[in-house]
Amino acid sequence: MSASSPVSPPDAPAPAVDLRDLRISLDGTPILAGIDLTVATGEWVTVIGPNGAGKSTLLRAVGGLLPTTDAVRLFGTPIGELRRRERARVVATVAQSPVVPPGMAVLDYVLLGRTPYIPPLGRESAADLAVVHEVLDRLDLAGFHARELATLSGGERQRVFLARALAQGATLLLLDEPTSALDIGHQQEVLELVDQLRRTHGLTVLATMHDLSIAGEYADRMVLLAAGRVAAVGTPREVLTDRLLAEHYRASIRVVDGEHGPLVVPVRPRRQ
Amino acid sequence: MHDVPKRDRSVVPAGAYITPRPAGLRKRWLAAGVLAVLVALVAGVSLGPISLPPGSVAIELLNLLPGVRLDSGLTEREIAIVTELRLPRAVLGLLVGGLLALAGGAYQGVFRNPLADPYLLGVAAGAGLAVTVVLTLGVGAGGALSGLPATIPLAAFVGSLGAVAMTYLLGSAGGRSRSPATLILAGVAVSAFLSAGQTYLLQRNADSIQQVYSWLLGRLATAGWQDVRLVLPYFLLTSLVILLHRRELDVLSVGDDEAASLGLHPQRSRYLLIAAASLGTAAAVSASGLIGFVGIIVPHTVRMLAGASYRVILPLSLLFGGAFLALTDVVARIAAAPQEIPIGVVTALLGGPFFVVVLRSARRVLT
Repeated sequence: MSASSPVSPPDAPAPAVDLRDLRISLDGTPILAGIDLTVATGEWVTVIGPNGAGKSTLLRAVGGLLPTTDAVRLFGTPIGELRRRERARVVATVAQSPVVPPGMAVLDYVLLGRTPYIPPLGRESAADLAVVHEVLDRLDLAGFHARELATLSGGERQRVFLARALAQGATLLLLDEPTSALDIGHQQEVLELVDQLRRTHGLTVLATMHDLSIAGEYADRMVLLAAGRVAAVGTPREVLTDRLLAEHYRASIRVVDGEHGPLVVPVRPRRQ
Repeated sequence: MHDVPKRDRSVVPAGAYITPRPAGLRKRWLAAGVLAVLVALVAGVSLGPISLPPGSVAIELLNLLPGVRLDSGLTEREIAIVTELRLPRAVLGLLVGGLLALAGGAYQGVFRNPLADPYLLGVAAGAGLAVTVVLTLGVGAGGALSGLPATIPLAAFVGSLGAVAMTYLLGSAGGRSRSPATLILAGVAVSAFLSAGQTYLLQRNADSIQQVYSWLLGRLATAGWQDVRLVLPYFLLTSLVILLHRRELDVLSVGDDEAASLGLHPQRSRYLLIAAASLGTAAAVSASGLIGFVGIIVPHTVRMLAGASYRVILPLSLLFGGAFLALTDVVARIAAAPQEIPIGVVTALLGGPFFVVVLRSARRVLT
């Protein structure tokens, strides 16, 4: 895949995400120790790795929430050169467990996604509302507009979080553990929805996920992160191998062939 | 046995479909707020040791508008009571109550904390200490400074900003483990510390105790137009800054990371709003002394009745906060007539039980 090669031909469109030697330290502790990664426009890349590998930090850096000189480029522009509101129109994030403000209705929450288009001291326009209603319809949330966020089920809420990100009109979507709070049925529902949106809206998806089998079924490519470095990049078949997973997760697993890619099954170690 | 059909709110009856509107200030709430202010104004001017007919008072108030000249049937003396004694007092009550409620609502949004309030955060105590310093130093220097009203709001502002900074630092000292309750505990500690400093100063400067105390207990009783003129510029500035940022407070309510992803500069907005709310608190404290709980009673009542968006809470807190304090002042004036109860005592009597209600409903947030 040409997108994974560090040198692109000069006339190729700039990749959605281009990380060059991204290093992040928090309180003196290196979290990311030199990450190189490109994500092509329209691609779905999922970052996996054990707890503390730096997955969320990677997403925060790409989302512009961490100071990063010009190690992060979005569609060819160093992220530091984008103004905050410009950046918010390019990249939208769904956090791992977003704050649910008490008393806020679904419509108002999704409308927050239009913040980068609303003048700082102004109010939303009819066009902003039209976008919001379109997104609510698209995500089957039209009947939910007046419901309070706090009264929704986990799956419904995840769709609302997604709706807010879509209302932002950004073509790069960052998903931090989008399904960790959901049962398996809702996990599939949400991920199928993201995949559909990716095709219809031309989105690029960069996600982190813990469930390796599900991660492999939806991703074009996977990145295995370990101790702040890229341990492996490639198709799910190349990354989800017994050897790599055993080495980096210290887990007893077996990789079996599934219809859409490898499936990772935890297996209890044999008693000695 | 009949099954009473339950009303299903998710089913919209045919023909009744309205395009859903986002949260915002509805006209009828705005009208209710303005009406409350007018009622409080007329009540504040009519009621007192000498009761005046509200109708005549309303006419006298209309007469203050340029170009209006109506006969209210009041005597010269009664007109003087209206325009020189009671009106400035009622107007000051409106301004101070509006500021305290607005500042409370803004603090609650900025700190994402339902219990935040100018008093619980120590802001008022900081302003109080600073004013005490000015008053005692002024008296110590032969009363030269104490006559300068302009230094008092300024000192109060410095004191309130210092206090809110202390509370914020102390409350976030716990790092990741900090919770809304930590911030309030820090505010209580800062308040206690600053009040101790104030007590010490007063003890060392016994000659100014009376002056400081008459101010501390709430000065609405002696309010004149000069107090209104003192507060008005701060009132306008604070209200303008906070009301212009009401939408940003809604964005901040989803968390700093999310707000930053949406293109905001959360820390910058937060500092600006804290400065504005502290300025408003300082102006209120300088003019009227220490009046607690307005900043928690009014925004929460508005939130429960009219909606949780700051686009609703802030403008309505300004209106209803003003009306609330002006009416409380009427109660303070007539409940134990001919003596006056300090207005801070009345708001505390109302606020204590109210605080328990908020605490119970906020338990989920606090744990």
